[in-house]
Amino acid sequence: MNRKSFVLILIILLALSLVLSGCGQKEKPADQGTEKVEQKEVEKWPTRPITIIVGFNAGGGMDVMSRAIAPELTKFLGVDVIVQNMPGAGSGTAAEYVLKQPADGYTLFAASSAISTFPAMANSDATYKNLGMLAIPIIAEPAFQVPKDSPYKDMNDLIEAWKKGGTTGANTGVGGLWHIPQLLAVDEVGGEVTYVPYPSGKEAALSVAKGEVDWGTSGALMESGEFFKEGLSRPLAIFNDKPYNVPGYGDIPPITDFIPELKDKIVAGAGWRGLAYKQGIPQERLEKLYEAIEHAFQTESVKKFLSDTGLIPGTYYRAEADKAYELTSRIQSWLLYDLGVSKRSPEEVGVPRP
Amino acid sequence: MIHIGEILSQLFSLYGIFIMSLGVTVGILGGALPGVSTTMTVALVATGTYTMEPLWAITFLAATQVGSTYGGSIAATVLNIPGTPSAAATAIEGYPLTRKGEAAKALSVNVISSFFGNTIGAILLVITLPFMLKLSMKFGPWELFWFAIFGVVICAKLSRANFVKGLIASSLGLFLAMIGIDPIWGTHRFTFDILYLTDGIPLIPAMVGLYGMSEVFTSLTDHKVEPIFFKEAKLFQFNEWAKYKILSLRAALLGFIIGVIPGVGANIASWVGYDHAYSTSKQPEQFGKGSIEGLVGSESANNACVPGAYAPLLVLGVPGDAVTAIILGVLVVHGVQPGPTFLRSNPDFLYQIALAIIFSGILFLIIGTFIGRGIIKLLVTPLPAIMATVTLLCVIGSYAISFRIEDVYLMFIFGILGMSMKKFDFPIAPLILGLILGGTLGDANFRRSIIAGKGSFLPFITRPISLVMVIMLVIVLFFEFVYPLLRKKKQSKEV
Repeated sequence: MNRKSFVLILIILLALSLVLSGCGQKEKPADQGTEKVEQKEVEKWPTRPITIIVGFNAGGGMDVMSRAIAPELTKFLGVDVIVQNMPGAGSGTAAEYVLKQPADGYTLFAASSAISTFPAMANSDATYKNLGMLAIPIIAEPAFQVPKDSPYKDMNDLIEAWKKGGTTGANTGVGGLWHIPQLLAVDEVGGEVTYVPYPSGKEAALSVAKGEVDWGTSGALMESGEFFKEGLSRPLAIFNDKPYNVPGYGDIPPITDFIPELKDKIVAGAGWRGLAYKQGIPQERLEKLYEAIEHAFQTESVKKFLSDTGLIPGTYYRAEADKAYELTSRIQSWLLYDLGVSKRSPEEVGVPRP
Repeated sequence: MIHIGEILSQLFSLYGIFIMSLGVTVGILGGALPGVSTTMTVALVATGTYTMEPLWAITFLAATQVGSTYGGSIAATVLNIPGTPSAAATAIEGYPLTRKGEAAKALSVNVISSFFGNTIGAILLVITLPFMLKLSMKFGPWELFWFAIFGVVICAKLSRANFVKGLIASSLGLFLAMIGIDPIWGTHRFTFDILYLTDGIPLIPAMVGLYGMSEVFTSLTDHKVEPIFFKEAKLFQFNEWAKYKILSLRAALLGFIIGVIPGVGANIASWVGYDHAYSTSKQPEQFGKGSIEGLVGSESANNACVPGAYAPLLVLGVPGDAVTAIILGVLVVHGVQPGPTFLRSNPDFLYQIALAIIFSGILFLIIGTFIGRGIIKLLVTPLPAIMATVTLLCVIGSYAISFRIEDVYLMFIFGILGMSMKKFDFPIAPLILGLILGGTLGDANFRRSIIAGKGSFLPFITRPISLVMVIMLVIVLFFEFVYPLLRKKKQSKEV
């Protein structure tokens, strides 16, 4: 009797653990060698599920975006589009994985602008030369902000303080998403500041609200919007060339009103979210993927997601997206290398100076 | 306007009870599987909640989290492998009880302590939330650093049996926590250009190896392992728990406070609760040999921590731990942005969460008792079968975290390390605690404090909460290490 119930429990446990470990990766490309990616007259594609690899944990910004668009891609392409999380090395692990898969279009990579720092930070050898960008549909909204009782009344005051030196500014870590717009802006005005890294944009925003730092940079709506509305901190400028509206708070003026020279560097500095693929996919399949993603961002459900989360829709599709990735990559990786933040010269992986 | 009646009728609908039972059961099983942590269980079920109503999604996730936090104690007690990191302290007392044949008693005390801690935590969440915004604004990296130092003191206290070996183990833990990209400057530390090491030593594979795999290796080399038996016992051991109800309450309070502080989670709460039980016990000699008090302390604290972690999520929109971070992500998909203004316009949200946590507690009290009773039956099986299963679970558990085969290799390496430590009588607990405290809590917050303080060390003692923590630390250190020495001197003089 005991033996019998033990076997039963064992089977249940094993089944459960197999299911649990299988949940994340439902589809493994098993037929790497067998499938020939030759072009036929009219190829029926796709015929099996497509996997979107997310280089961050479930619940993060990239994960949320991928899960919002996956159902629409599924509807358009007629096969399941599965989201799989593969966290590690600031999405470098995921990038390496994607590069090892066959260039058949069945594996996509939800890439944030963080991949633009890889040539310098060496998390992965992925560059714009081996990764193509289907689209950059979302531009981030970093806001420069100060505590409620800060002596800096507007962005000009803060710029003056940068020039004088000695202020502390919160961000998400060296080479992190919100460090880049700070570096670009401070560099442009010739300032000198001390950066205080926090584990997430939310915590950076909170440190400003608590008055731990003199100023900081965080996402205007999702990360700091509640603090603006509550009057705990004040936004001074948004890293964009257009004003940004926080519902329930009001408009934040664009940084280009104060530092017009940044106009050409907005895409490279603000941070973005895109969908990438390993280069070498047959042109017809690429065309289909282009159409699918453009369609997904026209649907009501994705539009609602964008307005709920306050994300700025991007306008970079197809070749435009590749160009934006290249520009971001060259500006960001050289910026980090020149500052001595990273060891590897971007030239080692063939990324020239901007 | 708060609609308690409406929330209650929703929760007690057929759907509500189904959702919560499902969450609790999945949670307990996920928590009980070695290597499948609470964070991972919640992350896996989270993918199924994107189509639910936001309130149901959060109810389901909270039920899973609550169930899993308890579930971790089952494997800790029965197999000496903590199912989740937050059950590591439970293993120290639970497993010796199992060896004595009292697994049934231990599991029942676990489930009742967890239930009690969980309920107290949820009630405290509702009562204290209005004051939480002001309080949490006073917590910065300085306070978090002192918190890590408290953890190091607990490491030392856990090593009382053999101080030198304990310190070696905790130093090793702290050192291992330094591996990877440093959280302040992004410098690679001890990574030797290996991509895998840039994220540091992952906690779960390390823990699964140290506790689970080492047990397998030990049983391979040590042929004298006695078969385990178990005595039949009452299903619900309320009397055993009731002896320590005041301890349970104090541990729950501590656990809740730890949950409230962002960045410090149930993994640390269980140690603090365990240490509190040890420090206040009248029978400290029982600790390490199967002390019910130790179980009560650890399990009350880690379950009270769960509701606590919702406080920063609700008042600031900042997750209190890794699990609430996932829940925040789910809320974002649903277009809900928690924070002070959101809470003011949706006061029901707090009550829905608190009541869901309380009722999930009642469900796991019942479901958990029966699942625990079923799992005890494992114990009568021959050792080779148990160890083969454990090996399999260890491999699956460490692989499933992020689908990296290197995690499995690491698990085996830590298995060998754990076996060697056991052979030479080094305690494993300080190593694990050192690994938890080292990088993101201790090191990062110390350096962040210095940078944010513009190079000044003064805020460490001039900030009000910091000052209180320093005074507490001095008192603890005095009574723990200096006072016994003085007393010894005095005694020897008298002699």
